[in-house]
Amino acid sequence: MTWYNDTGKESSTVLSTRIRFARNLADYPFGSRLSAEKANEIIEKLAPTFENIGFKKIDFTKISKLEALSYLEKHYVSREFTEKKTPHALMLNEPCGYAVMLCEEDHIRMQCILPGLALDEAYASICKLDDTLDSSFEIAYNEELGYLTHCPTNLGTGMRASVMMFLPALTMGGQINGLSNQLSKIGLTMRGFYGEGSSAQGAIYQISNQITLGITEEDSIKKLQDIVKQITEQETELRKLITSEKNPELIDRISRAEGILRHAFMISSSEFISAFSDVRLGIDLGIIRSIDLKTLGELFIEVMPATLSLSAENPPKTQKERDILRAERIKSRL
Amino acid sequence: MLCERCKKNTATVFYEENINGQKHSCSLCSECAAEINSGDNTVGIFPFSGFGGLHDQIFAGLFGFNDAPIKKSKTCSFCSATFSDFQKNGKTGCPKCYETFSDELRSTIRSIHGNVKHVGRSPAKFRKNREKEDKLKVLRKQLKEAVSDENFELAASLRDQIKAIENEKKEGQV
Ligand SMILES: [Zn+2]
Ligand SMILES: [Zn+2]
Repeated sequence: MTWYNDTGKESSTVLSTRIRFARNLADYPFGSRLSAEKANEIIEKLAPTFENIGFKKIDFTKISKLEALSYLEKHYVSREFTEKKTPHALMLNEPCGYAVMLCEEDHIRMQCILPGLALDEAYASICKLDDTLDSSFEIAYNEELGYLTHCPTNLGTGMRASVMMFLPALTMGGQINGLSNQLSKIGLTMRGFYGEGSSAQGAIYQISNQITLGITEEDSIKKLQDIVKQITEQETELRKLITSEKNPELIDRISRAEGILRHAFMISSSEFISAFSDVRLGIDLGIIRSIDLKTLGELFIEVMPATLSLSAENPPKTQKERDILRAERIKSRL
Repeated sequence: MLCERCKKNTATVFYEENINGQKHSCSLCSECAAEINSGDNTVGIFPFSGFGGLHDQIFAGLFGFNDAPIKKSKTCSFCSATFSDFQKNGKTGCPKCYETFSDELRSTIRSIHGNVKHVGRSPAKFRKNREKEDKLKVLRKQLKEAVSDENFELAASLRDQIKAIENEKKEGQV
């Protein structure tokens, strides 16, 4: 079971929850000043600790670009991680939701990713892993600044807690910008799901804490949790509004999106994401009954470019071939 | 904190300069900083400095703009990074850099987090120390109250407890 093979709590508005801790070994330079030799040393030092508790090691210098990108699509690694030239490795324990990047910009970036809204569970899990690490290694820390990180933006707790939300009604209502501004005033950020700075596709947004110094992990998580609940209420309220009124345009749009997924011969990934979004809303509103959230959620990762290409016996060579394969795959799953 | 130019990305590069005794600061994301540095600059990013597109001077110039004597730059004894390395990419070189450049980094850290004292999780060995620290704080406060209430019996017992914890702490450090 992985975060994308399951739906969790608040699944109508929350896709997944992720908590990441940034940690560094006390006696090595940070990422950008780390030699290949030292990076290897760190990986060799750290990997067994994780392997002993059920992780597998994926040496990123030995895998194909496509495989690396597939891990990016599954949110296990950052884009920078896939582009790094010096030694770096991913320690993965999918059933527990753990993905640990070794030698990203920080020596250790450990994450726990769970389906739905699960901040407390993810936090408890990541703390357990942190304790294991703490008992085996000397971690860079000082009492004033907390956990020491490559970039001062992560100092303190080194924690980034984020919740991936699905907000089609607020998006249609044009309320995202206002919301985003409000959030930034209280130390939270909201960004489009496809990476930093990218605009939101498919009405999917990532909401996370911005500040890591001077606020405890628990307080930070509680703040995020409260906001996510408030946003969920607003979104739910608004969804009722758009359906309680007669809204043939919306019903038409949702039905067409289902038509695309079920019948199109070629589907690009951006077309998929927008159809995904409409269909997901359609399921929630009871307009679509023959597709379930779980299958749709699985497809969300399965038909991303790299993951899709990797899963094919004959990997598509052109964009066109890939779009055809995507349409076939979706059809076969629905 | 958001980048002041695109207002979208997280700011990771921080400028601060002193013009005629007035402090100006600017926080950018790495993308915007790189763009400015590559010369795709349009006027208005640094409203206070009037640099325009003189990109070569951005990094070097922002800090020495008013011809302040250039200080001989400190070097981190562990990773040999200098503070100007930090100014280039907004990242420190190693854990020790935070000690070496603690004065220089303070304003940057404050502009990001607003707060420069960590609270929250810590490695086990620090945790024990902090628990004692917290206990002492409470006891000292109680002691003050006991004294002002002229409850000398309680004050004496609190004093003993404080002494005991302080001794434990001293032993712990040995
Ligand atoms: Zn920017
Ligand atoms: Zn250093």
